[in-house]
Amino acid sequence: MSRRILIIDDEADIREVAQMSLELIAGWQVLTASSGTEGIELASSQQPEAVLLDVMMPGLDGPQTLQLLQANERTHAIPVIFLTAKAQTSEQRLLRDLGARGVIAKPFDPVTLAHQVVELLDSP
Amino acid sequence: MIEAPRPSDEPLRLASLRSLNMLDTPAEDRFDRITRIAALAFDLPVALVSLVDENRQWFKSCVGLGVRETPRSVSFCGHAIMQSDAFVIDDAHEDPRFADNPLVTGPPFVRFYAGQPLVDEAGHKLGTLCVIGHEPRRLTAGQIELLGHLGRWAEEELRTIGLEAALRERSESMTRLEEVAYSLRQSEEIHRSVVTSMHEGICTHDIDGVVTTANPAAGRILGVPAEELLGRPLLDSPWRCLSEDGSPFDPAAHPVVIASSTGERCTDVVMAIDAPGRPLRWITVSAHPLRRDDLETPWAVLSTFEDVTERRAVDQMKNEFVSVVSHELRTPLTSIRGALGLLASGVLGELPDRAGQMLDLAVSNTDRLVRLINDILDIERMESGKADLNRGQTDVSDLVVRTLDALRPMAEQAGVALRSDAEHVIAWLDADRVTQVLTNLVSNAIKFSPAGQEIVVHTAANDGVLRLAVIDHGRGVPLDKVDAIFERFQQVDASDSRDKGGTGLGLAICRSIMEQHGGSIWVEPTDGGGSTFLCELPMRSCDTSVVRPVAHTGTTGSGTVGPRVVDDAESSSATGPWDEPLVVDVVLVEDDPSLAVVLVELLASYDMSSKTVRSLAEARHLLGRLTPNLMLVDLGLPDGDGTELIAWLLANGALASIPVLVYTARDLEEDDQRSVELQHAEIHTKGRTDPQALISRIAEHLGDRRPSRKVTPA
Repeated sequence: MSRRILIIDDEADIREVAQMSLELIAGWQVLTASSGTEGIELASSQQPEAVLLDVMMPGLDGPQTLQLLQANERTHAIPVIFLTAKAQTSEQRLLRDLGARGVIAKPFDPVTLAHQVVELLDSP
Repeated sequence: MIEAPRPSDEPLRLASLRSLNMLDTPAEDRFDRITRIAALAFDLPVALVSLVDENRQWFKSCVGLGVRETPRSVSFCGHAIMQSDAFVIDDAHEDPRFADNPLVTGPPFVRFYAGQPLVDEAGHKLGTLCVIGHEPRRLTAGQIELLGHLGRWAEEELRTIGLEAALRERSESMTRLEEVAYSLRQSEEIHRSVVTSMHEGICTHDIDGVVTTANPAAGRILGVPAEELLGRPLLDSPWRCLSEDGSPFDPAAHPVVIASSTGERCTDVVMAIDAPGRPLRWITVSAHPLRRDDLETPWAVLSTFEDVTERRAVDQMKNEFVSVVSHELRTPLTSIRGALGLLASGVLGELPDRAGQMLDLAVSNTDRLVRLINDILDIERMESGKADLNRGQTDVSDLVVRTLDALRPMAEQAGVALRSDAEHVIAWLDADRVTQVLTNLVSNAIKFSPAGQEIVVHTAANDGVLRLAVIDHGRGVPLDKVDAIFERFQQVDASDSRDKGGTGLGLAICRSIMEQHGGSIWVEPTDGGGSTFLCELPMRSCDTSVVRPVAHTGTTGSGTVGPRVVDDAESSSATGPWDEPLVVDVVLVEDDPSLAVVLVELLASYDMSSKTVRSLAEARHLLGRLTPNLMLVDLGLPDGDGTELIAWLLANGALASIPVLVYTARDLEEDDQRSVELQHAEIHTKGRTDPQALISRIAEHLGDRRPSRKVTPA
């Protein structure tokens, strides 16, 4: 068994690196989406255990996507972790206050990414 | 000889004489004419205009005499001014008052004297017009009358001189007044044109806030002609004032109201002017009470305000720009860092050693570039005043302990000990920012301390000031660099950023953070070598000071240092998740992250909760906060051997009874297995016991547990 994680990021390279990291290092199953809209659809149909969500995206941005995921009864229980290039602690605090399970800063270390995700998911 | 007595009006007489400003002035025609006429008319050799001063008689005009003054004591004129009419001595030899007078017995051999007193307007006799002969003489009534006329002529001249002096004085003071008035007009004109041409709005208000004057800029900024502002009460306006969050501005918080009620200056208050039909204008307002020496309360208030709408817009754009740049730089770096990390981890296939080294180099430099971007973003935002402080009541000793705990792995790697010598203090500060400062200072201290040394963080509160000191015994800062190191990219040694992995911005950030808190930072030498970095922060009056000192070394396991503050409001805000008891089944001490992920997953599949730490230090700290049901320990850890941890557990009363499983790649010798520590542990060898089997063994230890879901380890 492995965890099933959905990555939503508009940057194909980052999707690929994160996917490889979670698949190869932790052995997880990874779904990817390149936009908020596509991500919400996949989350709803595939019911991943968690969503890794980019913050700055064209179209629906991260916070808007999170809001829609929370409003949808099929996805509201799925924990969301922001993956953000915003470095400020204040910005990260704002993101957490939106109801995300946690925030992981970009660039991330691919070797410990899975570990960071697990820590956030398991935290109370 | 008999000396003349002093007149009864002597002081006033002398004052009147001096006010003429004639004594010791050059001779003048107007008097010389009179004396010449007198000498001719009386056919006598000497004629004088003599002014009787305190101790002498001084001759304003003098015909036939070689001196300008003689002593009053021997003077004839001194006698003459005691009379109202002419004073005549026909023959001095025959008069007992003068017979032995040196002026009679010696030069100029006075025999005959006639003096007409000179009287000023107030009746004071200032001197005489006199004629003198060397032979006895008797004047006719006509001659005495002539002397009287000449005397009055001289009196007229004296009066004229007095009038002229008064006139001169008046015209001088008029000129002075005119000059003062002119320079006042000029300075008023300058001030007026400054006030009129200023971009800043300026109003004066009476003590009730009613506008008494307003410059054109005030009208321009507020969107009405300046004249219309006059007489208007402060809070009765056609516009609305909004505070920064968009809510109506609290009238009691208006600087003019504050300045007039408290008598204190109130500066740089930001508000928006929302007038119908105009776009929102942002202004900063300052108010200064105007005082007078004779009044205790201000009599008026001066307000100045500036339109900062454009500046705010530019700041916002700049802010967004910095944020976007930072994001745009970070995005490709994320892919680069990720790709390099994956390659370096070996999951994509083993690499030749040299290639691995090159990759590690690429990874560490990518990390450095990221730190640099973070620091530049940080410092830019702080120095533009855009990084608002998020202040709260903060337990400083707790903050110090946490910071040191986070840095302990780094310190242990460098062989440096960290110690907190923190007084228990609650201060009003931005905990994230102050943690950043402390982290910077302590990690610098670690970098520049030789192994075996100790770094102490000392905090103390005194007189509303919080002092933080980071004391090291490292290589120290040369005296000529103690200021420069707080500038950007100014390290003590140019190679430091390369060798020590710093960005060259750490201390500049520390200084910005301190300044934002209204504090300061500097460095001093430590006694016996090394550096002491000192920070001072005002604590605010609501801060609670020392309650009791807390000694915390972090290696004794006494990590539960909760706030011990008496004040309820503060202790509740200062209590964090740190102090809540944590319950966990397994503490996993494993430095291989991928194996840790697998083990954690497997434990979770048995519904066993776990906490993972990567070093002895982290384990010791975690065990200060919670007691697990079981420990799973790797032996080869970055900061020592797992057996040290087992020994520490055995020596630690409550922790000694926790079952310990060792999961190690080491093939343990028989001797090792019999070591005291390992006799207390169950040994599993990586490669012989697979993770799945290990976890089911753990489940057995912890009672009847069945896997709730299936996990396939990678």
